[in-house]
Amino acid sequence: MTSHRLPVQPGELIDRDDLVDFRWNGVEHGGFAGDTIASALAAGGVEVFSRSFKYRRPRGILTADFHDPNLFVQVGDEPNVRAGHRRLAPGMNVTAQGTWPSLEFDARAANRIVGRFLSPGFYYKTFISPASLRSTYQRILRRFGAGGKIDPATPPAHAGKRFAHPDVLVAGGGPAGMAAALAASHRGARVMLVEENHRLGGHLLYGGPDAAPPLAELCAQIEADDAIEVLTDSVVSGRYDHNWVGVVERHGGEEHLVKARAKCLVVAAGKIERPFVFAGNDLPGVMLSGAVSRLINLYSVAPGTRVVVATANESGDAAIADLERAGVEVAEVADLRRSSSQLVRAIGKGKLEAVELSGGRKVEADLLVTAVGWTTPTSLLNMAGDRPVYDPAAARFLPGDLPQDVLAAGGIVGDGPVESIVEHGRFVGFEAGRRALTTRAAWQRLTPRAEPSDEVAAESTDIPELPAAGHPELFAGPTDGFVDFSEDVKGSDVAMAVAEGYDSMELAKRYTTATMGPIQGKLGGVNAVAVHAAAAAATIEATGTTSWRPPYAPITLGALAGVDEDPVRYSPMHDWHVANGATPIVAGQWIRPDHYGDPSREVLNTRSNVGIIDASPLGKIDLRGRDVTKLLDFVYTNRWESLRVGAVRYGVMCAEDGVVFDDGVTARLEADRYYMTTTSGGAGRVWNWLDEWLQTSFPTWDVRTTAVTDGYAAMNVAGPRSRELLERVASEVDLSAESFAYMNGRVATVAGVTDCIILRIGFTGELSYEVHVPAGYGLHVWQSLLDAGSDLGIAPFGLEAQRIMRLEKGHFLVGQDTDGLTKAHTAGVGGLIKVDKADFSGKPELLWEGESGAPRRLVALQPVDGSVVPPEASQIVDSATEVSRTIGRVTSSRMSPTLGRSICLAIVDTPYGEGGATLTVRLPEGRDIAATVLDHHVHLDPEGERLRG
Amino acid sequence: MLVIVCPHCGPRNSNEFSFLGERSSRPAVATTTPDEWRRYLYTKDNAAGSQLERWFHVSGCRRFLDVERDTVTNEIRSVRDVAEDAR
Amino acid sequence: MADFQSPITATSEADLGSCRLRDESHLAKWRIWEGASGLALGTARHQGGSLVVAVSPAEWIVIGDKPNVDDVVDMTHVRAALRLTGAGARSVLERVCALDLDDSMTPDGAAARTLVAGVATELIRDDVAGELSYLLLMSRSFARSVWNRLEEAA
Ligand SMILES: [Zn+2]
Repeated sequence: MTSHRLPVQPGELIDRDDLVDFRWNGVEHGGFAGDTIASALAAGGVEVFSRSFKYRRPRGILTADFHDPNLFVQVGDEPNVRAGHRRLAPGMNVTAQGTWPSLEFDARAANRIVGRFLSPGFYYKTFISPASLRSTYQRILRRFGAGGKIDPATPPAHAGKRFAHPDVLVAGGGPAGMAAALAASHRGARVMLVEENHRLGGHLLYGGPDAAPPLAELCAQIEADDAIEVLTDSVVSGRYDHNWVGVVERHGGEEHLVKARAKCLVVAAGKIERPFVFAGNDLPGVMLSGAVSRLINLYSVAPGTRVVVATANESGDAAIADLERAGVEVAEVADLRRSSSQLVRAIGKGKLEAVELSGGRKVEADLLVTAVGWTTPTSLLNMAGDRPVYDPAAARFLPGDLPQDVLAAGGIVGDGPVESIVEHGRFVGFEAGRRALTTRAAWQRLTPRAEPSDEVAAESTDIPELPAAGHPELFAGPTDGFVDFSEDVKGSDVAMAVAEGYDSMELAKRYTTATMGPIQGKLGGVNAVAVHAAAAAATIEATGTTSWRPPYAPITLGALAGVDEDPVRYSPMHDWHVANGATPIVAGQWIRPDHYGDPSREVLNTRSNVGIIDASPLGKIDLRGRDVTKLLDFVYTNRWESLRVGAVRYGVMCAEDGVVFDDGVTARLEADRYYMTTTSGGAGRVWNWLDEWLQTSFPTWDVRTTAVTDGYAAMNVAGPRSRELLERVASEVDLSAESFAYMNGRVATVAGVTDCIILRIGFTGELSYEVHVPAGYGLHVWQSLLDAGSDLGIAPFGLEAQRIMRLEKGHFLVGQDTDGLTKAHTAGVGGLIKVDKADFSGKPELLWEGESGAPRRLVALQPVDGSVVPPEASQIVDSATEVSRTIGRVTSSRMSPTLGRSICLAIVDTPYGEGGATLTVRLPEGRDIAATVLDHHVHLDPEGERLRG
Repeated sequence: MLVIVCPHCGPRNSNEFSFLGERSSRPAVATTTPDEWRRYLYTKDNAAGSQLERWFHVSGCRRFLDVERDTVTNEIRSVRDVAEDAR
Repeated sequence: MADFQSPITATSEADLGSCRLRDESHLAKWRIWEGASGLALGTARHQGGSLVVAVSPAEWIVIGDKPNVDDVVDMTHVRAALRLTGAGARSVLERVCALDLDDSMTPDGAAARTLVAGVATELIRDDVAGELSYLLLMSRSFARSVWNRLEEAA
């Protein structure tokens, strides 16, 4: 293969002393450090880089930068790498993507013949009927996918994020962005400057010898400025409310998200050169002027040998100068600024061979360069609420009205020589700095912890106009060509959409998929609008652009996901559980022992000897003040004023809609000090709720709430021998049944640890004590209890055994046996609802539910065949009627090791819930079983003799 | 991600707060009717424009706040502690 | 009495390269509602042997000796304490915390309750002998997750 590498060019980015070997479709290639994948391949004579999405047409270099729609390749197991942007690295294994059987011969190119299948709206029209063929269509479509391959075995990459707080964030590191960053920094602002390419400079980088001195000066100043953080090979992906700005830092294939809160955003995104719509505009060998300048000036690659240039602007003229300097034969220049001059079509089979100009004149060439105007990347402005305005004189969209915290600078606004662009950037940066510092000063004033702020000059700077230069409106030639290269959408497709009634651009976009590919209309967006306008006999102004949404450029899912943010909570005894064979379960955020091998054995041991469970996740709230009783009376449905010091009471909390919200016990430890426990999952919710009532409705009450869940390791010691065990380790407390009765609480010393709280309560139905130990001594007490109870048969039990035992006792679990519609009467705690209290949360609803009767009720249910355990959520049906009707569902269901039979809780329509009734439970597999309703909730020891003993 | 300027903590990201909905006032429990009570529970203005909302700075100062926010532009016009509002 | 058990059982100190992470959970901590009204919200001040922190109106956290007021809740076991010290502490923290840690917004002696690694945390800028240092208090059960996240972030 001949080398297309030119002699040394003045501004080239390649290092000719640093050779880089890589592979392209299995063949060894060479390039230089500083090359992109595409420039190295082009230097090696590669002309075809990909096959197009629908028609599988061969495609070559179009723009030679990040936005080139034809340069998507696979690198190793990384798909969709942009070869015009990604730098060459040693050993890269680069392959063309989605081609079959090879890039040179793609069998599916035959579908040019069946192109009618791929007409606009083909998703909607072609593959809908007959329904019997849909799966066939799916298979075919999947083979058509143009994307690369991912290896499912690749381990997930979690890329860390970071937060940033720049005063001014500049999107775009061309001359305007660099000047803006410098001016903002001179004003005292902290600046983040984000550039898509690997180097700052924008179009100056490939602007030839004249652009070098101003570029060097700007770079030197930026380099010397510590207040400017420069992120190259990075992109501002989106602007969200209140200038929350996403920046993707790319490090080769690894991406990191920066979440920046910018006080002022300067958009200096420049201009993107747009292609021209004409027949053959996608042939390899047809390039935009910018591609030619990049290839020659940055990478010293000759883009062709004999060239026709169709130019309407100075970018095309510059490309001609570059081509002449590179020794490429300029066969013809068609100056499209003159109306007599026309570009008609590109001719060639698989690559450019000739160009047809006005009057049918054909010129042989292997390179056609077009320079017909610009698309303005107004994406970020659009996300900030701006509607860009079309300027026919400049033949492009320009920024409209921007919010105060967003400014636009440089080429996105207007045109001019480098000095004018820099000058504009400087003014914009200066004003951005002022606005940002004003905000910073305000935020410092509003932030008590911050340093006092300096006064900021309020006077705004008038930013001089940067007028957009006149440009002929050149979008499409006399022949039909591609409007969207990513999606293979032609001008005629857009026109057909209009003919079919898609007269709104937003609809036509979705129907044709124009501008919806990976390039998102950055190149051809205006062309699509222009072609649509022409077909609809409307103006471009009236047609308008489509909305731009984040992200500006694709982001890897790994960067978006970041690291796993869900923190896990560990009990003080966690390491003991791990060491002792616990099977963990994550409940809420807590990691807990589900069991230590055999939950049934854990139940039986607890019921016959003594068991111990880590109950640390239990919610715990310290309540202090003269008015705590008032608060308890308000948040619980029952009464609290009679609770003695040393006593414990159970209560149910309901929200204002009467629905059960949480439950638990509260102990009165001192006259004005209470200790509330909540469900594990409800701990935070209940604390917030208490504070809400206190702050919003009862601000004069003397109550202080402190969440102390994490402050106490809680362990429930349960079973007939639990008192005997506790007596061995507890001191300064009389545990005898007479002085420490059921539903009492004491502060005591346990295993030498002072300030422990012991509550005699019984979720398991056994004689049991909940021991709350200051967390830093939790493991010590846990171990001491196990040691002291070894001769009593003590064994730990897990969450599953506890769930079984509470079900044997018929205790409901909020959120398991109740749901978002279960009011307190339905849950069967009517006796705890004291509607004669003046007020409490949810009182009106509960009063009315009590009067009208609950429509459903929670019942204990036992399958007649005790060996069948109906899965939870099994439906309960009334099959007496012709069509069986759902009348309830099983909410909890287990095999009881104590009773040797299955036991359930269920919610059923009230008329079906009478004790003794037989109901039909429909198992998921469709089989019906009979089950009997008990006349109370309790399956085991309904008199509670075990508990109170 | 909005910025909410907490009167106690200064500007903070909105994910530090929990949103509790439009402000509503609780009817007198002794005299309320099902209609009135359920309006309080379920009926929202859902204004397009300025709206008075309740937020809770749950991961910050743990104070409940009254926030005036424009639901169209997300401009936040005022943030006050409920205690200040009660005065 | 038994020894205080750290929530980070494996180690009590980690070298993160640009900074050091240390578990100081054993420090006595208290919550009070009176007796420190001179301290401005959002700040922390050393007083005698204690560090008094104000991150919420009309209440204070005291790290050190038990305050001599009527109503004190012992937070020693409720809150873990991790200290991140060294020149790189800020950039490590910026990977897990959205608060503006610039000197202008969070100078030495500043305090805030905010999210650190997704966990509500009292963040106190408490430089030690001129070296950048942050003291982080969070619910004890989260300490191990936060510790791991800080190690990852570095
Ligand atoms: Zn706050």
